[in-house]
Amino acid sequence: MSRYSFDFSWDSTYGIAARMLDDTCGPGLVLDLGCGEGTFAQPFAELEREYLGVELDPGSVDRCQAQGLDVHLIDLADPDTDAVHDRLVELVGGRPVAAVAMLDVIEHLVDPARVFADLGRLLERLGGARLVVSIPNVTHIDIASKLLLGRWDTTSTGLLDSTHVTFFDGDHLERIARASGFVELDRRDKQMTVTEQEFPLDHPAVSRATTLRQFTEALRALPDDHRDTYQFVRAYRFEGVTPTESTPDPGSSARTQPFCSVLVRTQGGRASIDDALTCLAAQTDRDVEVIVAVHSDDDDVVTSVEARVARYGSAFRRQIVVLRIPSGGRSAPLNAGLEMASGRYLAFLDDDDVVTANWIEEFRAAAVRAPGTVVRAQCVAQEHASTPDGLIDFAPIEGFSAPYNPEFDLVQHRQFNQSPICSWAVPMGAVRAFRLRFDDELPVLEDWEFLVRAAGLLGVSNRSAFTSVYRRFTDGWGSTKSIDEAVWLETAYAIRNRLDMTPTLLPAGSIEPMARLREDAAAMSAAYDAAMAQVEAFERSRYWKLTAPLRWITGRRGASISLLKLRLNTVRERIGSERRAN
Amino acid sequence: MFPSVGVQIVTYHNDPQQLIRLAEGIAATMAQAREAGVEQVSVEFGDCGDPASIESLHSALAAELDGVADHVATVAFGENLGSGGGSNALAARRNDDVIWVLNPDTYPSPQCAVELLATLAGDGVGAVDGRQIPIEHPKDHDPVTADTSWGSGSCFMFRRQAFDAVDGFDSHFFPMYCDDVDISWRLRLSGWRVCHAPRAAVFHDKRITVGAGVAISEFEITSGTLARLWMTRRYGRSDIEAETLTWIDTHGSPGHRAAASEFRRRVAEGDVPALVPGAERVAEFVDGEYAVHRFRYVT
Repeated sequence: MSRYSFDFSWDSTYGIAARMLDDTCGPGLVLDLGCGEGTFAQPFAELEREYLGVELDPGSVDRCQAQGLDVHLIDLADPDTDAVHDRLVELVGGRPVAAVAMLDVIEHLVDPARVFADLGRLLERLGGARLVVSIPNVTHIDIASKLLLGRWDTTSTGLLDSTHVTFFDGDHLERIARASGFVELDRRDKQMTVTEQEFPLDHPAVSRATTLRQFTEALRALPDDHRDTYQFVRAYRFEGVTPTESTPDPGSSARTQPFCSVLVRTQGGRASIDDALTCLAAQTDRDVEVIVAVHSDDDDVVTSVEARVARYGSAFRRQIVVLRIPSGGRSAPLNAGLEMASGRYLAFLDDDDVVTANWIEEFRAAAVRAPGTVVRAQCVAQEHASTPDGLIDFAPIEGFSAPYNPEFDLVQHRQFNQSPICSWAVPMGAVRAFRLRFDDELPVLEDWEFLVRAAGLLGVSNRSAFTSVYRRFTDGWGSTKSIDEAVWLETAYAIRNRLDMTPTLLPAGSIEPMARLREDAAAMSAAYDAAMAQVEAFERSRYWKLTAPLRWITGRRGASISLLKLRLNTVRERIGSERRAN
Repeated sequence: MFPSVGVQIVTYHNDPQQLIRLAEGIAATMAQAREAGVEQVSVEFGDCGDPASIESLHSALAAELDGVADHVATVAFGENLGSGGGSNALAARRNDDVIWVLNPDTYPSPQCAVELLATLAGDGVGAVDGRQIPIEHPKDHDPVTADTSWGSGSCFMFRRQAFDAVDGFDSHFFPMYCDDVDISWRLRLSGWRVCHAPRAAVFHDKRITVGAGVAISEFEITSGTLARLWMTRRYGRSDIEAETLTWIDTHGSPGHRAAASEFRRRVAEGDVPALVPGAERVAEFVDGEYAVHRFRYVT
């Protein structure tokens, strides 16, 4: 028996592939390229399909034939591909072919692009048969976690089989298949949380109990759905390469990419969107793309926003895209921006907020200093009120206030937001790498939750300049006050609890301030206990007892000491409630 | 609607890109004005700085305004006339029904011109200013009639008839500041109304300080203080003049002191603006400002 002799089960990769093949492919035989010990033949007896296998290893071929399987000796790596194909067509002998299967074979061949191209030609010669493949995922968490700590453990079989010569991640497989003219029909990737890579068991990258492993698992879940994918199990139809189709190399980036995309979120009804757009037109740095996301299912609303946009100067107008978001929650327009932004960064502006001329300029300065981080500048708040009988919808009623911490403190941000959405921008490279999206389930605070996740992964490059004005409406005209306070609180705590369920990466310098706070709290608690003990000792003192009649006469009867105890208790209660509130 | 509008911008060592952006904004808003019935549009840039720089920009500015403006000019004054003096010089070159003064560091919203013109067309209105963003000016206006104490020169539109009737800006307010308050008050003394058009949004490139206030440069302090002293002289408030000078002598910054010494020099030379007859009827000196303010920014 060879090392590739496996028992068949419907739960195994072969079982999954067989089921998928049977479901997605038409009638006809199964041509199994690189069939090994013929394990994949087993289900097709039950599925009543003819099976034809070819294999490079003569011993395997002999054993297959001994079991009565229709298996032949062919070297698929033979450079004379036409001769190989001729031989396969000959073996098929004119019978209809449902699918060509290549299970755990492609990774053993040196030039996968050429393999796919050859398979395309073969499928055409076989009258439009489908292709079914299974390929190990080299980005499985078990490999990723160990590689992070400098280990690359090849094994006799499995994910890092020592005879593998090419390696696939999910994206690589998709690009190579698409570029070779294949259209995916189905995918039933085999998931495995325990693999043959789980050794040595006490290694910190392997043990599920370590914080490191838990963090790596959470991190690996972000970029794609293949953290636990053991094998990619896919079915394709060959369509041929269309000349217009071009697959850009992931390493290349377009030169025309603007520095920043700006998502302007509007429900369409407000004239104030002109304030926001005019502020953008007046930017000192106009290397921007403006996406106006109209969150409305009303055609007239969309048309009116388009009409407003059409009034801008031609150069600026060409930088604006109007996007219609007919449904979804508050996150829907924001996520639409994340989907389509072409800039290196994406900034956000609600239609009632305004910015100074250096808004983009400051974001760029922050990005130059620390590329790839979240960039942030300062924001003032200004109270506004609606002016029902006035010449305009609303007007400011106060000057500026600066209620937000000028520094970006991640721990403080985990408590409550200190960065209105107009005061930061997120790098699109990270948005794509981590599939960052606003949580559409949240009724409010979606921007805070997003920022905390992004900043936790990327860090923040912060500027001291004030560049945005967050317009607050004391009379409920904006969204801030029109949503029930209870919903805000409930959502805030739900977010905080959820974020705290996975390990968090903190920037340098984060722990010491927290440690000092604990020390302060302990000192305060000790001071409280000492004060209380003193008061109680005084109460028990001989002097206090002896002077009781005097107090009786004066009518004071120890009221002041009770008051002191009451005050001390109030202090303790307040410390407790502050802790609960924060 | 007024048949002709002359847009005029006085520049002084401005960033060329800023002026080109402004021209783009003017083109867009004047295109809307044309749709609303304006027939003739002229745009003139008058430069108080290096003559070569504004002339080199002519073709770029004209390209932005192509198809909207019937006439585009870049005028090199060859000397620093100041904001008011420059505006007067540009106004004197043309005879448009409406004069629209814009600062070089502004960007009008597309509806700005139409909204200003609509307010200017009101009964007895001689001048109208726009609503500044992102830092809204705190001076008050009547929420129904739109009447206001004075209009801001950063985006100030006049009927020519009114502008000429008061001989335009007073160039005593060199190089700038308060010339807008002064012309507003003189217009009101002549019986014209000065109004605010809140729907006429205009971006004005003001910055916010680290203390969440509005940034004021040392130049603005000197120029603004000197202007304030002229205003007290012109509108017969010797009490405020004395109070201001005393405050400067005790607490003033170098910028304040420079203004006081220049003021005293010019007073000694007899170079002072004439007292305006009937000044008390229009002059509003309120808490150091020239109008009731709805709120205050920290400086």
